[in-house]
Amino acid sequence: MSFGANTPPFATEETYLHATDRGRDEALTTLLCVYMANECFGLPTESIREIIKLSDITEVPRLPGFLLGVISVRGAIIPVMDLRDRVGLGRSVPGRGTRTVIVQHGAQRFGLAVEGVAGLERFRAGAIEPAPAIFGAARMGAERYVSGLARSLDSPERIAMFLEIEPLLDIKGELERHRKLRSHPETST
Amino acid sequence: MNTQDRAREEFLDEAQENVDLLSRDLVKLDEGRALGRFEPEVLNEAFRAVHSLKGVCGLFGMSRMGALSHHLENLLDGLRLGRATLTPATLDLLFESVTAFHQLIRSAASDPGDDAAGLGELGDLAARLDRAGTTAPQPEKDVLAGYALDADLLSVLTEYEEHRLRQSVSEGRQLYRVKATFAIETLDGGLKDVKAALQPLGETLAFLPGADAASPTDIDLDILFASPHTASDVAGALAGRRCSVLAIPRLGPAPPVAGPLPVTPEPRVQSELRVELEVEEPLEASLRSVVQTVRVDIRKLDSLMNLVGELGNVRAGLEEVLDTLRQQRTVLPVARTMHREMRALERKLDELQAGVLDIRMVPLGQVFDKLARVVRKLSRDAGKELRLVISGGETELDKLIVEELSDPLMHVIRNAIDHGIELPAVRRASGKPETGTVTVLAEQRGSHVVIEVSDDGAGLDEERLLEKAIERGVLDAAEAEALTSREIHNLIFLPGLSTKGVADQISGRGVGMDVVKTNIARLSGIIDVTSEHGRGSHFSIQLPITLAIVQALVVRVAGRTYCIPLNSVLESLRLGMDEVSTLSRREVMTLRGQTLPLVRVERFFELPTERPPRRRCFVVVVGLAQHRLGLVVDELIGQEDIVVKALGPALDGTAGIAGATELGGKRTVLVLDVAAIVEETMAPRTEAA
Repeated sequence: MSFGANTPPFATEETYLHATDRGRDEALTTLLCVYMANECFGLPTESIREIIKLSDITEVPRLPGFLLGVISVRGAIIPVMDLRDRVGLGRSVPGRGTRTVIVQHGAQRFGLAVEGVAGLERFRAGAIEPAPAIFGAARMGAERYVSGLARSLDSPERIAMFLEIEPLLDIKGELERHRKLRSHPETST
Repeated sequence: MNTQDRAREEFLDEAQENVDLLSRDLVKLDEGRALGRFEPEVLNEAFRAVHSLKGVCGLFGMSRMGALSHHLENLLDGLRLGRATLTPATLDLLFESVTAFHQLIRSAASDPGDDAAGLGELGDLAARLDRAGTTAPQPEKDVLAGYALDADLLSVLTEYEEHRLRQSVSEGRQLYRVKATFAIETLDGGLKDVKAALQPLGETLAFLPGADAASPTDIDLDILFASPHTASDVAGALAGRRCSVLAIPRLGPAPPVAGPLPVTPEPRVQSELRVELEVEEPLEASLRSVVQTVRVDIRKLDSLMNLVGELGNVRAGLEEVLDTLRQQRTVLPVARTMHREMRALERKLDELQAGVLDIRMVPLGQVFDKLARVVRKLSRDAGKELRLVISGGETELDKLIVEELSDPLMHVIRNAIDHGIELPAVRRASGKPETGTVTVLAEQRGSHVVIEVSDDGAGLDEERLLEKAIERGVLDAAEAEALTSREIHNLIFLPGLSTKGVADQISGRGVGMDVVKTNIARLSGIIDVTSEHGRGSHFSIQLPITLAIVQALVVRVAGRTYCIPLNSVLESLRLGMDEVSTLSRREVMTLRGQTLPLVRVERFFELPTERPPRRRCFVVVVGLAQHRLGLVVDELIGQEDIVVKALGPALDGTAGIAGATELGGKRTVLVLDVAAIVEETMAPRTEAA
């Protein structure tokens, strides 16, 4: 496969891998950019199933706050998390831009509620910086989810933090902690 | 799923099926052997199962399983040909192979690349199989010499047929030649019919092509048949068929074992009653497979079920449209017609739902067969003599329930063998038969299936149970005093109370009856125990037939809607706040003279609610085993058939929630997990001041 004149406008995963193999700077990676707390985050496209308008969420009791509840998408029950809350930026504010991005990792599907969706944007693979402590990553506790950051090729004013799906969806630890907290409550009744 | 995965899954299914068949046959052989019977046909079935297993292994390139099945096939072939004898040790070895196959299948399922290596540690098993296959019995003297059998006949028999012939003769049975005439078109059916008629009387040894038939559309077959019965009995069994029975004359005196057999050749008995059999199917019908079944992935049924549920939602939507139409006078006739059509749609939907549910049903026998195999090993390991009596294997349950049931059921039986049935010497001393009996009985009662496991062992030791409960802090002495016998027995379902002091190899694996109860409760089932000291225990497990569709009570609590599965609801009633009193910091009410603990759902779930508690609300009385509890809710909405869906791996295990469902109007509604709520509320000591 030649890499030059025939390069598609968007890099596919193959072209990306192909190019990084050779250490070429031109390799592009495409992410879905979403907004939360006026910051831009990139989600890997291969995990994304669909984007829907936030429908009525049925709250599920006794869950940590970032888990909003469940929705039903064509007969399947899918849990929804507040992505902003999840990455430590506080509760999201519902508005007109609010959407739910349905992602899948293994057998688990999750809805990620975001404050806005910017669209698919390209990034230079070679320009991705490792997740630094800037943006107060430590403050957010988000270093587990952010794998790096880069400036968008399509909208150069944007710098997106790349989110990793697997640790985002792995909520076992949080559930466990929440459960423990609940079983030793300081209730006043 | 790609083609390779699918092929692999198909292989695993088929392999599993054949191993299950083998296992069932071995259990039958074992039972037969215990009663002093030897069933060649069962042995043959087992051989065939292994043979096809070997076939599919070859087909899918599963070399390790293929090699093992080859050794196994050799042994079974030796057994059926009389080259080896079926001893208890051989049976053990055969059962061991079944276990090995189970492991191989499991590892092949989890790791596709796992088959490359040679037999590995299975080499030892293979060698032992080979050894068992060459325990040659004493050479037979030619018993056939005593019969007027023509050499032509002997020359066409297969090795197996000849072996069975010799065996029959040496066991003193009379040989018969049954001449049967069939119309060519109905040969298959006719043959099956004759075989079935002969089966109760003896063994069909071989089918041989007969002399030229009288009519070109007929086929004559000679059937070589061995039986302890007389020729007229045999002819009687064949009455109404175009058959004649001829006893093969015996030369010289009969062997001593023969007993009162007719030694002189019987006169030829004719039963020429010609019955024209219905021509059912054309000849090529025989090319079709006999079994009219398809194998379906259960997930496909789940998505069908989802579709049915969604159709129900569409119907609910249409119903709303109909209501709007009814408001407008001008379209009233249309509304009426639509109403009629809607009723028809509703009925068909119900039928569709019932049909899909029916496909999911499988007989419990699948689990029972597995039990029989494990029980055999367990009782042997424990040095106890045991008879397992199973009935009701044909009772059907949802496939998923049957799958989930096998572990808890196995555990109940393990418990019976380990703690219930005493050692033979102890039993003898207490005047019981040395062989203990464990009975497993299943039957359908309404929309439930009840499985009862009883043993005639030692029964539960009430004092020991109470002692342990007090020691564990579950009860204090005063509370223990107040318990009824039944309540004491049910203590074994509490954590830490069912395991023996000394860990033993059977039940003492750290898994107690509490886990059994949890697993059964997860299936919306109820387990209960009654016991009589010295006489045995009786476990009763009640399960819904399916979990795919359940009836639910829809309620409102603090502005939210929930479903409560109806199978755990006993009744619901109105509650005035003045009827509530407080007992050791817990709200209770008095219902027909009994104290009923109350749980306010909004408090249980810590739901934020602004308004003060209602004056009037409702109590839904739920029951789980011996526990009763009143769930306090704001409103009762009505009953619905719901499809309960899991919350997904991430949220499964959320306390008090069994899943979610979609109600009409596309609302997603949570389904309460009554078992968990009862469990948590009744959990000892959590709320003690």
